[in-house]
Amino acid sequence: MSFPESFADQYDRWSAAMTEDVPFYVSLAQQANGPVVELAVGSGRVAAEVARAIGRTVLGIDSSPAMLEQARALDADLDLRLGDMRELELEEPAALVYCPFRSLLHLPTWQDRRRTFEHVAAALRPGGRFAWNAFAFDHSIAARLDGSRQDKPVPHTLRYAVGDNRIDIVLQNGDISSLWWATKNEWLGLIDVAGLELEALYGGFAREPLTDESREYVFVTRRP
Amino acid sequence: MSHYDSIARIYDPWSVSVTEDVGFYVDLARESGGPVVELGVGTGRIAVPTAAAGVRVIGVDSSRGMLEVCAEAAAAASVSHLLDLRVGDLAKPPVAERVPLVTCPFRAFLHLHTDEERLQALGAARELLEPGGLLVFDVFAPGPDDIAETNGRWLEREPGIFERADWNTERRRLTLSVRGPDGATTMELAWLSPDEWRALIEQSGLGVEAHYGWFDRRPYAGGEDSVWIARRPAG
Repeated sequence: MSFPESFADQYDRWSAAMTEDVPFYVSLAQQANGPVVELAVGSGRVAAEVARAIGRTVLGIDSSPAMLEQARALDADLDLRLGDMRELELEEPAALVYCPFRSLLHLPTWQDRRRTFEHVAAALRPGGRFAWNAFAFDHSIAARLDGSRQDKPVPHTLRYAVGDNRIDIVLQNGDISSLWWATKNEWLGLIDVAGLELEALYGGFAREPLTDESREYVFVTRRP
Repeated sequence: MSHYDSIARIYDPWSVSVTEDVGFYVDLARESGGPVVELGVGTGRIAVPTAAAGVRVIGVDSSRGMLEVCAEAAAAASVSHLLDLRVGDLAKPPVAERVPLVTCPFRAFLHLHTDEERLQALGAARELLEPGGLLVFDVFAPGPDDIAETNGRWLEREPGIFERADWNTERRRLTLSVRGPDGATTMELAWLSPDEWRALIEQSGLGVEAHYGWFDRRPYAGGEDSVWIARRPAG
């Protein structure tokens, strides 16, 4: 994972603009008839709301101790575990595994993503769902963003590694968090090789259809 | 891809400095025992030495002009009997045989412009392979330095032969123009990230056996060149 601990302090500032994902994942969790698991649970922003809405424990996994510490401070029914999503294993098969806030993009390579998808598929019960969202891949946006400086939420510069489909978020102290943008076809390929089925691909959390203007992929898949 | 017809006569002088892939592909062909299907066989820069090593080659290209040059080169090397040249499309090669090795050298897959075409081409290559057989191809994706060094400038690549690269990073297309004493053309190449190629290979039911960064088989460690070795699973 490419997520330096220094990003943890300011994490809630990065995610403050994102709220519309919560009702979406809550509604999936309400339909889940069994264990619910959040990958890259982070500060618990989404998981706490999900646990409250369903009145059951949400199992949250993250590879960052600093992020888990923030989640532990919340008053929510969370079972928080330090772990690597590429090695996900559950004692009890899950009815829903979900990964909000584009966290899958921190996995550097297709092999990392494939391993994650295969582990998730193996951890689901038949009929169980895997859902996530990620930036919709768009080179023209990436090319325009390259080199741009932004002040919010904290001062940073964006760099685009053109042949790698990678965006680096460079903080003033030099720390870098990288996002490997995946194309729609890469996501469909991952679903395919992991033996999952595509249930829906939306262009946003209101379940709007995906169009060329969509900035977000919202995927819902199912283990047959 | 008929734009190649207009540069068939300057193609070999244009690519004369590219040599390191030849030994690599010839070795693979020899190890496979053949026959080899070479997609985008062109002027036979690789196919003729392969045939000279005693391996039968079925060469597919969409340009008749290039195949004509290839046939002449094969005759000059006395290997015409080992070269079976066919006009056809990368994505729909006119080949019924099943072979232990399919190759697509010199970035020819970058002529495919959509994931649909790429999946079709990779799927077709898979179908040509015997179980356990290999698909080997090379491609590139530019780095910012490559783009900065070459973008929009005519550079004399070989004496009398000029090349110009126009990189469109928003569309991920390279418009490559070449002009020489006996021809000129412009072609559009579409690049992908290495991860996208891996995804397409695995989605096509092939396993990635190796991902090299160059023809000397050094492991890929970033950079513009990728050499992929993919295997059709046995059984």
